[in-house]
Amino acid sequence: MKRQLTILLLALPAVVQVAAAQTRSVSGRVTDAANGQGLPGVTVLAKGTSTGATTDADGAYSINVPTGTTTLQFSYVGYQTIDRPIGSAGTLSVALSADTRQLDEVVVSGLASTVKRSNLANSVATISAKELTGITRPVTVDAALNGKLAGANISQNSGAPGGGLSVQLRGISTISGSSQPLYIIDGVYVNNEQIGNGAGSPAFSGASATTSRTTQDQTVNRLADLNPNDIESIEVLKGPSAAAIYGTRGNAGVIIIRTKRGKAGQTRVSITQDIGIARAWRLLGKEDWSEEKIRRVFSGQTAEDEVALWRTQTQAGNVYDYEEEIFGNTGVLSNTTLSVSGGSENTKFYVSGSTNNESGIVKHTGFQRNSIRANVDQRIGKLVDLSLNTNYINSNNQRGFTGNDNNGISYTYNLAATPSYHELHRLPDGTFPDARRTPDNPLAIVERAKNDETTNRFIVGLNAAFHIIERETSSLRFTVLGGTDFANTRNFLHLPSDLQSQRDLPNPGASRLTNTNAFFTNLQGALVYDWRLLDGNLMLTSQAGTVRLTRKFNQNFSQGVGLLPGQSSTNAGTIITQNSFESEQADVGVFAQQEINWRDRIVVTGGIRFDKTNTAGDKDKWFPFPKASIAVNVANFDFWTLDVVNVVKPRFAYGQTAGVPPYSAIFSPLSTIGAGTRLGLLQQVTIGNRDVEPERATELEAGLDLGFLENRITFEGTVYKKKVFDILRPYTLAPGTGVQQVAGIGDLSQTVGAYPVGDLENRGIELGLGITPVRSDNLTWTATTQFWLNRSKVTRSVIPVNTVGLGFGNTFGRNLWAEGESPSRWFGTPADPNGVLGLTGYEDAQPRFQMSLLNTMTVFKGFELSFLFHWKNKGYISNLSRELKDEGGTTEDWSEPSGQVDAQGNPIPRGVARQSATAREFIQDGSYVRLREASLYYTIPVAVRTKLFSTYVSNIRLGVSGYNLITWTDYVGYDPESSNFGNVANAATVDVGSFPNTRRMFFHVAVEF
Amino acid sequence: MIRFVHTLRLCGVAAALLLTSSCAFFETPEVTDPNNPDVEVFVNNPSLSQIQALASGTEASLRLGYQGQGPYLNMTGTFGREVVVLASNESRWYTELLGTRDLDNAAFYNSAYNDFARCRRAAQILRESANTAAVLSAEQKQVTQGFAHTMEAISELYMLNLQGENGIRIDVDNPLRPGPFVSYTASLDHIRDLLDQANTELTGGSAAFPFTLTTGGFTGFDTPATFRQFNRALAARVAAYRQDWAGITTNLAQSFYSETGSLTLGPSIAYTPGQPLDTGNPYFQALNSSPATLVVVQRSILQDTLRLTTTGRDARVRTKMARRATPRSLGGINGTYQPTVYTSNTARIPIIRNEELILLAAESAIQRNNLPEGVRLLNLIRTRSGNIGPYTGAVTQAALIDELLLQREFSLFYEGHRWVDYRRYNRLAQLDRELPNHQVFAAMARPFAEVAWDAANP
Repeated sequence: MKRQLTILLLALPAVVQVAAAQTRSVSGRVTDAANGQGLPGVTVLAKGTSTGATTDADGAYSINVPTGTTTLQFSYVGYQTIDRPIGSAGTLSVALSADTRQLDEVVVSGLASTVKRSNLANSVATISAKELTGITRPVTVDAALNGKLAGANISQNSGAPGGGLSVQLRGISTISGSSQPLYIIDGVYVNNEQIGNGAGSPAFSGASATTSRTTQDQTVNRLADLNPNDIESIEVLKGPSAAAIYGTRGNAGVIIIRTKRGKAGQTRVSITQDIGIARAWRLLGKEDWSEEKIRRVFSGQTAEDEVALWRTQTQAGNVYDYEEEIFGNTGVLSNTTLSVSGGSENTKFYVSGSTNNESGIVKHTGFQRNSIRANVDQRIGKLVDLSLNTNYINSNNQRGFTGNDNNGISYTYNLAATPSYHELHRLPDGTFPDARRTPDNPLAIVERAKNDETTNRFIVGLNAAFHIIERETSSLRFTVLGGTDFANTRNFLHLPSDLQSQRDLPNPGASRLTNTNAFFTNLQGALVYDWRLLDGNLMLTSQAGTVRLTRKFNQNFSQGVGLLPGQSSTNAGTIITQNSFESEQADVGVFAQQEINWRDRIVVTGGIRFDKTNTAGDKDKWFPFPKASIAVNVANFDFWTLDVVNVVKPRFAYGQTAGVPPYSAIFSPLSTIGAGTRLGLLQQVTIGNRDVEPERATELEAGLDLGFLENRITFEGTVYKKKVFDILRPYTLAPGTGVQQVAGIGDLSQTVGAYPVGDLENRGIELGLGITPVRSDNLTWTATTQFWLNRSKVTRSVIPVNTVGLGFGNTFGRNLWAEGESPSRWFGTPADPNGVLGLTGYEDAQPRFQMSLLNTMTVFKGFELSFLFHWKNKGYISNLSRELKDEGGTTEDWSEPSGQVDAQGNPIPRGVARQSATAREFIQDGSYVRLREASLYYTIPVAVRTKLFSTYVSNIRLGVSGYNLITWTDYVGYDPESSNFGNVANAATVDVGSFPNTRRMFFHVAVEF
Repeated sequence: MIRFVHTLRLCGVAAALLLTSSCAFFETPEVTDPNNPDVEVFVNNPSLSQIQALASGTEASLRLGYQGQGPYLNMTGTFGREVVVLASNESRWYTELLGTRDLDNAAFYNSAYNDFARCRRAAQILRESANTAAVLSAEQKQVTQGFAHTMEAISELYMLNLQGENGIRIDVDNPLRPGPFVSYTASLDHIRDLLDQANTELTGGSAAFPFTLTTGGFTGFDTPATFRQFNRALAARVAAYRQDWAGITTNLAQSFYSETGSLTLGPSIAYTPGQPLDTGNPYFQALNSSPATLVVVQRSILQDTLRLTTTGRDARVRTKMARRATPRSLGGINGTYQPTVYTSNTARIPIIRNEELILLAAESAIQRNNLPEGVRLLNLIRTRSGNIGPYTGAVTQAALIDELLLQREFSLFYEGHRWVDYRRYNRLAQLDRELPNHQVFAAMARPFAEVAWDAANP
């Protein structure tokens, strides 16, 4: 996408080209108004001509301007563009201020074109590198977006190293398909799968009955492979009105990531080092035991034995806090990045190598990522621009076992039932004692079980632009954009055969090796024609092109159970099973678009894309996706004389997108089942839909942008209505027929269904207010406040009320697909005769609203203080964490009186009373206010720096920062963002024995040469 | 000008690149399922090996309801107070299912209903598919129908056992237009009709099935003639459920009933975990092991051992349950004994066996007031199965019914009967409520998806 930016920059001067005559030289230095540092890469343009220059590493420039030129324009992404009269002097130095609104940056407007933000008719969020990673170092890119993106519902599914995040834009866009946005990195359509590894399958935690990949494997999503430090900027197309150009892949929004590129000039070397620690921000605590309590929890002989043990252990002082022992450790975080960039006018490069190494708060868990990137831009003659972006990543994680469990593997499950006086510590002979109350000893699982992942990945993109016609009033270019993303992921799971939980199994010990190859390609060709009419008063951009996308995904595993003693290879199993899953998807699109810009006052865009996909029942059917938008810059009209208000822009946009049907939705497969020595075939419980078509969404968006006092105060307000038609769902049938639904379920694909069951509506508001209250030499303070909310509702349903989401039934809360209801609302016990299906309705899982506040202060040029508060208001979670501890008798307040009394009038403790509660107890408010990010940086003053290092070092920056520093919440559990089922399309998450989330703190050093 | 030409040339090259691959570029490849065979291929004129695969699939799928998250024997065992499932990671087994809360019609433990329905449909697909097979003779098609209808009947019987008075749907061949739920009685009548229809089909057709049944599970019952004996045995059980006491005798006469034959004679579900995609017996628990999900003997069974009025220990008690070295106690319930009915992961689960047939004969006699015959048959069980002395109690119909139920309790322990027996004799209230907040359920809740379907398709 960066390519198009350059193309437009190149094209624009061509449009306004005038004959050059004599020239004179002007030079100077461009600095950052905040800290006085030189700004490299600033575009300096002799206004009214095509003559330009770029500042070097120190911010210095020199330009030969044609005589007659009176003004120089200085522009840089993320800063306010300024014009300065040249005057008679030969030098001109300026200081640029950071622009919170970034009105002059360009934003994607078509598959091969961009538009100035000030002319944009959509709400497209742009996150700069400074906003993304400038404060602190979240482990993944999606974690770094949290709280910074109005309209997004982002949550970290697990606190395990490497994350695993869900990003949902503008409410619910699908129920069964992928709810995650399309990610495009430098033009490459990349893979963001959560690759299940079977950790939740019966041979391991048994959370799910599925033997292959399950929804409860709790793996990372593949965006974790991308080093956030490589990113220059992110653009977010939140809904169909902006994403219509992406057709069948656009329903869940599109996130366009541009990585850093080289700039002409001196070669710059930058080294950054972060050292940090991570600790659980909250542990749930425990309650110790008394004889009375033991007799309450246990009975019969067991109670007698426990009391005896409790006496001896207590007298010996052997009372432990096992939660602290497992989750109370400190993780060490280290990120190192070395980057070299620079180049000449024709060749530019950015090369970086980075290594991130994080150890988890649980022993033997961690995350490591090693990444090498080379981005090269080459200009061939004046007519061809090429850029090649390559990235190799090696990413690893070790996550242990947490979450839902039926086999006694998950630490959290075992911890919840382990009394503090039980002895679990390793014996002198190196073995672990058997747990008395749980199927396994959690300390042994930590030490001996394995849940490891290794990914090797190449992302390569090639962009080329051919400037076919370059005339005064018109230009034509042909752009080609191709990319591939190949990732091999290897997962290894292992439970040794002599673990307590394994010994008694018919086939003790389990290993599973899963290999997953994901290969994505994209190829696009487009012709773009810019023409200028009526003396430049009317600018038109036309484009047309084709695009082809493919996704191949194959996964196979082999599993051995009944392992020979001491063996971990799957070959050493008594029973060896294997499974493979393949899928191949191809989509083809053609598109055309017309943009009309009348003097930056009225900007109108219309376009259409046609797509076909082989996941649809008719692989050759073309589906149309139209779009149209208009933006009016009222303040640019001559009649506008109110100087204090410099931007008034009402805007309207409409667009359509789709979501591809799940792969295999058209099949009615038979699966194999063993019958002695024979292999039988058995129909699956779903039947395919041969007529399946993509889910289609339309969105109407209206907004108003305002700017006051030269954009010292900016306001951006957007309302939208996004409707998703013909939502694909398993059409739930009467299961007594032996068929449970009309759909297509692939063994290893996500559980999906594909029958058009009705429509869904999302309505929402997004507000943003940017203020620069102080802008002086010694203090610059900017404050950005965002506010957003979304409401979802099923507007039409042609099927019986049925379950959506992945809850644990009426007792703990579930979600329903029912006309007039939100698919993320919770329902559960007790019975309510007037409720939907006789169930009591509870609150919605989506937040009532979210709000964030980002403040950045620069003091005395060298110090920079930033902090980001994120408030999620409401948003309910089905939380079973406390239930687990109540059952185990370990909850911190277990023995406190509940206020209830039993038949004999004895008080019932809370831990007992809560177990027979209705769903009210389990559907809990997930509100929080979080100091999500905070930092303080100090840039060593030039004078000190040159004294120490002469001119060898061009910049030194030191800092401290934190992520999730403080959380205020009434939620009872490790973290209100947890999700046992990973990414959940209807946003309704379940927390059951999750991995605790962490608070991260860093010390930073960055040196540039 | 030269530059312009150069540009055009470059452009031409680029366009050519796209054009040469243009066919492939615009083509979306046809998708056939790369991972599984498609059912549509099989329902039109299948080959012999395809029929074999469908028949094996039908046979194997009967075991699905015995495994999964709500296994049939653990459900009926829990409701009938034969066993308690002390699952350290799933409290609902020993709370909700024992009645601390009402049953949840969407919870994990409703799985057996769907699994048996799946077996029924597998039989339907086999029968529909076989009817289109050119390779089969009319006689072969006929016995295949008989096999399939028997499998459908047994699947429906298990579904009905779980659903009790809720009844089941009996018109289910078209999944998009299922018929309504019918009463318990009408459901049973339908199952009887299915069995009778199968009986006729098995009688007049070819001498052999056009497919082979599993060695082990159906050995001795793998021809139309012998499979028919199995069919009649099931018909005798259904007759008992229908209180058609004379019908029991009629059907037993055509079954494999034998007063001298092995008590374990009868078809069963076989497990060969070493074979590809086959599994082990899910009810096997090594003695004294502590798996997360541990099944223990419910205390009323232990108490009832005293009612066996025996001089020595009843052989059934000796072999079917064993004291645990370390009891498990959860939620106020102590598990001191564990069932040892299934002694390894290759142990078979009987579908119906001779011992039940003798007990059915006894029931028929007692109900028809032929009390001496009833006592004779009960003594046959007491001596042959329990190795305890003859019955010494009162010879009245009421007393003998008590004795019959007691003998069934131990002879058929953990085979899915006690709950159904107590229900059909209206004795659920006598089942043991171990804690004050327990209740005994007469039936599982009608599954959520069924309720929802009826709500939307009135």
